[in-house]
Amino acid sequence: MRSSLLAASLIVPCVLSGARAASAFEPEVYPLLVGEVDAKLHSASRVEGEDGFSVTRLRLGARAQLAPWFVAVGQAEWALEKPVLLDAYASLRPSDSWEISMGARKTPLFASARDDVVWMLPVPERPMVTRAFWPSRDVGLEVHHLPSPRLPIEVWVRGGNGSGNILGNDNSDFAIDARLDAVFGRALPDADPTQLLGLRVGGGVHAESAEDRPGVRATTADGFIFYRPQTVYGPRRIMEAHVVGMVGPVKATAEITFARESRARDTDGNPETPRVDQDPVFSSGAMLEVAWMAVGAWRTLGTWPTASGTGILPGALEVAGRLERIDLAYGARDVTPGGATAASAAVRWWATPFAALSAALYWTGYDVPPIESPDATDSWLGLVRATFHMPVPRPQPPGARGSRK
Amino acid sequence: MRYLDTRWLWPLLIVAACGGSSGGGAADENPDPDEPVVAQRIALDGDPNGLFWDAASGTLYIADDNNNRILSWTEENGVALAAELPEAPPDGPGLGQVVKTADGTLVATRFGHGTDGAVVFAKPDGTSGVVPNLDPVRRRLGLTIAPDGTLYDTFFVSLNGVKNGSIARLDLSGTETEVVTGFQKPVGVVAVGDDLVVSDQDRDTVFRTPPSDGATLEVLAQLEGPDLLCVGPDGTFYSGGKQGSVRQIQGGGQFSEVMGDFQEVRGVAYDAKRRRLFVADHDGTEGDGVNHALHILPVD
Repeated sequence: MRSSLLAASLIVPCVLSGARAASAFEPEVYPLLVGEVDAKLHSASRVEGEDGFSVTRLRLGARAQLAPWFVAVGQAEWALEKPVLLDAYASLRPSDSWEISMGARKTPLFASARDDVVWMLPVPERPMVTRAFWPSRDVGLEVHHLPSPRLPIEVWVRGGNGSGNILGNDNSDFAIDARLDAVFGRALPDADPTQLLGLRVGGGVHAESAEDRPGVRATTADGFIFYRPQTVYGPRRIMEAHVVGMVGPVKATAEITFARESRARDTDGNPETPRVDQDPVFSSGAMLEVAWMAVGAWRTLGTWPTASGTGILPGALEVAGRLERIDLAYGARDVTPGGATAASAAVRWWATPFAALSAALYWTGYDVPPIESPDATDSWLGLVRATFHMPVPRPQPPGARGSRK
Repeated sequence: MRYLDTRWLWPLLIVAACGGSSGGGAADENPDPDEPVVAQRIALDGDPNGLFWDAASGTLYIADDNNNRILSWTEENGVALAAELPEAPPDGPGLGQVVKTADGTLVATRFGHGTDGAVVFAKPDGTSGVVPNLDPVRRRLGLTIAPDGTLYDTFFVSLNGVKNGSIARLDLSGTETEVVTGFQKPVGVVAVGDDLVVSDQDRDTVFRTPPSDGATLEVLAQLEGPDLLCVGPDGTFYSGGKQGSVRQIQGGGQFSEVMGDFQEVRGVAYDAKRRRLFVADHDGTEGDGVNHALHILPVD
């Protein structure tokens, strides 16, 4: 009964306001299409990945804005062995400042994961640290407060079904994510992209109860797992803090993160008997990325870089570098910890509003050689990537409905 | 459940020999152990998964995943029923590897799809049962017997969309103790001396490890989707895979394809005396006609 009243209190204002604006609004459905094709060269070919051409992403889906206050999104990844659902959610916007969504989508931690899309980052692929610690997507209910110049605070609170589970049909676990950011200047949504300065600073916490799953898992940019994670069981906590600063054509992102993962061993295989506690494992990481838009309009978060209308090169040209450090599974008497230091650099030519060409180089120095190559202390990956997508306008907040069309 | 006399059971089995062998499934091309082995394809009324070669009796045991039973194959009698297994769960028998213990008990893993994972057995006296107390969430596939008689199985759990697997020491009285953890989808396991060799299908890797956690794993080879394993000649191992080929793993990162063009290769077994390899050829598309088979390949 109480939940029904809550739902009604959320939906009725939307419907009423939507009805008022009905004459000014036409539903819109946009197809979503993203493709990325790579040519790769590894220092440890076959061990850490195959050299040559590969399709890294082919994402298909649709976004439907059916009312000024309602958006539905569905998207799947087709460049894997089997199609994988990425997003399937409905989003309500009862006002300019609030969004309530339910379904499968990104969990809110890490600015480089939630606020940017992976195929628009200054260096192709998410940072090693973010890949390892970010809880990825899950299915859940999320309340999101959007920032404004008057109240530059952005908040996410999400209750979901646990790390990495999109379909949600293989467990009954729960996970909680909460993130709080302060956002200023060009980092605000819908900010003037010519504003000189922008700042986003904040942090978040992820908490869940894990059931026999791998702990924090570090990979190279091509997905090679260079350290065998421990099996973790029980309470699992991830904390992160981030700062994104923008000064003219330069964007700097820094993230630090820490995880505590419990362990308990099933000594007899019988689910009815208690497990034996083991030492928890701790992992931590930090990354710093600096990007310079040498040609083209200055970056705003989560948007495709565009030409500024001047310069000798069509489109936009961006140069970026990234430094990272990760320490894995320390603090347990029975576990040999691991870790890595990584550096990467990229040049990305955002040639048109729908296509980009990039070249990147990644280096990973291993604290402990991977078991697949016991003599290796580091590895290199060279990447040339073509990216294409179908441009889609950003969702319009309710307050902007009068300006549509 | 008693072991049944295969002579009167034979007519009940719809077994046909193809690819150069005569009808009836008895491999009568190779009756003389000194004669060279001829490659054969034996169509099966059943879906072969795990294979186990019992050198002492010259019998191949076949886990039949369609009919929830263990079949046997000998040169003299061809394919026959070896044992019926306890009632299968609603989503199918899900049989994996089968082994025969020193007392003649046939033991097989059940996959169980996250709800009905189990280990089942059939004793020589005809009784059968399910190993008690085991966690049904565990998806079990591999099984092996160490020289000291210890049983080891492989399992993984798939929760939160993430697979996590282990090798465990199995006691038929009802305990399954993890000995090596941290795999993704371990499928095959074979005991070799004091070590275990295990295939991690989702990591495309075959490892060698002592049966104790914390030990350093040795990567024998990286190959696409390795399946169940068996020990081959000269310290090598065989493994199939969904891509339809049998690979021989030499170790040190080396492997070679023995033969391709199968449908999906699940179990493999090696007869060292006759130097022949048995291959379980699974038809993954039964809807367009059932075509499961057992292959016998000569090994040079």
